[in-house]
Amino acid sequence: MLIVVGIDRSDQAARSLDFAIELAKTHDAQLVLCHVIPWSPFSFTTQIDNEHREVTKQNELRAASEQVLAPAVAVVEAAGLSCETYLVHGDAAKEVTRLAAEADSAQIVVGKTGEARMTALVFGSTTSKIVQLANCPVTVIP
Amino acid sequence: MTFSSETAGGGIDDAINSAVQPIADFVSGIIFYAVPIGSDGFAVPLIVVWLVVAATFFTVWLGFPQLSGVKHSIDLVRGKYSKPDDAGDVSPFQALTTALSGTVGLGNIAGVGVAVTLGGPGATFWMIVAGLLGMATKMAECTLGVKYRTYGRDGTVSGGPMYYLQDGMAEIGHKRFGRFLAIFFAICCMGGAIGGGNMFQANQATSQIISVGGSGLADWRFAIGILFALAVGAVILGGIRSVARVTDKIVPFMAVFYLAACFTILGANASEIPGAFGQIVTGAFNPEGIAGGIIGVLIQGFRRAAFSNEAGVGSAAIAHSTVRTKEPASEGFVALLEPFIDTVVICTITALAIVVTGTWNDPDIPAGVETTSASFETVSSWFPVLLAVAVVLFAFSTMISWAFYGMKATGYLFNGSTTAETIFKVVFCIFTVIGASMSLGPVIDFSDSMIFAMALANIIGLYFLAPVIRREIRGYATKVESGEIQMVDKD
Repeated sequence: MLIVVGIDRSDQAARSLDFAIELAKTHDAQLVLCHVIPWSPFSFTTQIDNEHREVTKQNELRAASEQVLAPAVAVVEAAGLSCETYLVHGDAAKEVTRLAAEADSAQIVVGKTGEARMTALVFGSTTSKIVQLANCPVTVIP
Repeated sequence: MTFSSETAGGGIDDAINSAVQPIADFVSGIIFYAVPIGSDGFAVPLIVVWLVVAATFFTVWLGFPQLSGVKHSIDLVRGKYSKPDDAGDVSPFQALTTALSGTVGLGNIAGVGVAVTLGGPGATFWMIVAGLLGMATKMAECTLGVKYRTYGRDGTVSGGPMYYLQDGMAEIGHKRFGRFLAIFFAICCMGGAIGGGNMFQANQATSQIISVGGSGLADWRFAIGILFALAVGAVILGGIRSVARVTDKIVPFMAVFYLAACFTILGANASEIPGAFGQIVTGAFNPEGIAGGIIGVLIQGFRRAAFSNEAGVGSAAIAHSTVRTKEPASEGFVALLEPFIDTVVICTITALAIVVTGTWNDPDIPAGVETTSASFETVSSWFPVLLAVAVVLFAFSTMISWAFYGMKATGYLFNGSTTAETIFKVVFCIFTVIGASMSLGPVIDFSDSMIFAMALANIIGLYFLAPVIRREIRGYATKVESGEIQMVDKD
């Protein structure tokens, strides 16, 4: 079984990871830590943004890998497990569910995200989108 | 505001006007060298012929991409060919919309007003023709822009005519001539940025503010110009990218808003629409009372269309060159859509609004943004306020885009010197004030001439590199047909 854990900088993500580690131990499952850098091909950008985009992308990937994924991997390894990591630009809900859909049997563990209330009201939160899109069990950690 | 007397404002404006007028006349006299035809003294500016011949040549040379390529370009913009690895980089949609925010501007509102007032409704027809033909030129230049782009020491992308004129021409054995063209282009690009990309925009936005805010503001053009310069300076000198980002987010909505307002005008005059189409077609071939007859109408239409969509000018190649793609031709296909959206859609709708309301025929309304504004006023007295907001935002985003083009040209000329770029930015802001202070005539001539001067060097390069362009586009098209390049997302 594959357990996809949505990771960001939040406290809920840290708690999700703890929960997923216990779940992985119980079911002898493989962990994948997934971090998505928010990005859309249809957002509006400026000339200067575009000119620097390739550099910015590399900087974003490096920062996420050092500051978000590496500490999480350390937590997993400290618990005596191993894990894979998945880092990509895009829409968090789509990427997390796509990753889970690629495995035969998977579960998703995510934190209840703290987006601004207005944004969540209008567009729905990332977590509720994951619940809607997923074809597998989803555990939401408050 | 520290300086107060109205006459002081007027005095400064007049001084600037009379100082710049001779320079503007001199420059535009060269670029717009015109050949007299017929007996009524009408003359054809050669530069317009230059652009139209190039657009026609590339339409034929590239096998009518306006017909065969549009579906593929829409698929590209929708991201159907974007690979997962491309996530996080500049998408075709982003390259297209940033390029459009530089071209959709006052050319679509004020330029159309000038074309229809001076050339009659028939000018619209020739604007559409020029827009359709211009798609091929845009495809050619943007393909080259991507093919010969370079990466700076800090990893930033630079592309555009400067680079393809220099490196592309060197590849085919014209190193010195290519370098000359590249330098010529870069100098004109700095001028074009300051003229059409800045002074014209500031001028027309100021006129619109005055026409909405009351003629009491007329003596304050100089002060309005300073406000514009401060806003532009905040972005380009202060590095406050959030301002540009906000503008770039608002502009697409403004464009939709503007079109909705035009449709409201058309709706209110629905019965006039068939007649307007009739006037546009008959006016195109059989104009009455237009200087130069059919050639006069054609030139008005072509000239304003070229000024609006900038096909052949080379500016778009700078904007499109930042896209993520391994295939230069794919960006050529994306760029096809630019003149279509700019000229065939937006300019045509503006022209229709002007024709159905008849404001072009009113001798009391000056040619320019005032023509469009008057047609907005026929619906409701507050409608021109909407237009003023659109005009100010369009002008602002165009100014920011052109400041960037001018900066890239400066960077090319001075080997990336930041001092040179800073001096350019300061000069740019000073000319914002000058542009806002002048009356339209000298500004419009000066802006046109500098922008069209860019087309001189750019199009010579395009002719030389025509075999390279065709090889790229055909090679790419073959890969798409054979399935070597496949749609990633078929939804």
